[in-house]
Amino acid sequence: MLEEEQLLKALQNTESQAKAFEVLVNTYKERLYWHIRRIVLNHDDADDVLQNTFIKVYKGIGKFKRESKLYSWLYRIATNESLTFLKQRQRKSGISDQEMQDQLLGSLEADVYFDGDEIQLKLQKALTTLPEKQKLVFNMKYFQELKYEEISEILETSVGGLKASYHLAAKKIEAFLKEN
Amino acid sequence: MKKNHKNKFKTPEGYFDSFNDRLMERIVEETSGIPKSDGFAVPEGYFDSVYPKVSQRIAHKPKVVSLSEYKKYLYAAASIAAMVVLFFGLKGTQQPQLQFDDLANSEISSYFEDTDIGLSSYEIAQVVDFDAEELDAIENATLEDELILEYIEDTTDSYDELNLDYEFEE
Repeated sequence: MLEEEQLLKALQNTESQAKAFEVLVNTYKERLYWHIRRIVLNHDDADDVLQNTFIKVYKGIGKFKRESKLYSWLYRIATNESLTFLKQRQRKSGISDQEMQDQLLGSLEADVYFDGDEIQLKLQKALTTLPEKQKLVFNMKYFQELKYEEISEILETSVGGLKASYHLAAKKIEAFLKEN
Repeated sequence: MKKNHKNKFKTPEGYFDSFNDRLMERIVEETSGIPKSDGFAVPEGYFDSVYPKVSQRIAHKPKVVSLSEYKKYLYAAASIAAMVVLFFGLKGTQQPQLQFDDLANSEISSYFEDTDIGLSSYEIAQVVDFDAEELDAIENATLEDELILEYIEDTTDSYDELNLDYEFEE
């Protein structure tokens, strides 16, 4: 992980920070975007959350203790920003979890940047029925193709627990798709 | 197990350790009927616009007061605001005397949002002469949960520690 080490050094040095931050954003923007998008679903919301994520990274990079890898720290911030974004919106609207999920699906159908067919829309509906963590694990494994070890670092959960969550999620989605 | 010394083929490190996982993943993909694409798209050229937008926001980010500072000196700051508002209010209109209770929290908040008072909370505390009873009231004051939540909602992005401690539901 020499590259990550070099990038971190440059990020924590005042003179090289600006250029290094640009490199960091350009290196991780797509991966983090897709991670965020699969949580908030709508493109405009994902764009807002992605920007918030990088701003938080910029503010926090000086305090990054290197206790975890850079990518897992970035994913963790992106995950927390996305979940916080949804919870804030839910609190402001005063709606239940289920109503929030229905609203998200509604906004997805109206999103011009969702060109999924019926089965893909059903897949999103199936995902909304999962507990938060199972949904995260499934998206990270199935669509983002992260390794269990990587997901384990990001979500700070054991690999064994993640495997169980993933297979449980896959079974539930499969059952939902068959029933509907 | 007997080692086959005649076998000159090699496999990547950890290949057999991860074989079961990879097999299970393939089985899920190929037998579950779950589509491999989820239908999300982005506007053309979107990713090229990310860094310019982020750097622009960083350049224009307003300074935010920390929560602990805010909580500690809220009452002192609110008193200053009340005095300033009362002073100008009375001077201009000679209306019946206003009380601190007449001020809505939103008015106090807007005052601080719209006005650069140029003093740190510490400086305000130095200037304002509180007696022991008032200081006691400030130190032991409790803020309404609603007020704290409202403040956190508006300025969450400056509290990494609140956000990063998020616990996932199992």
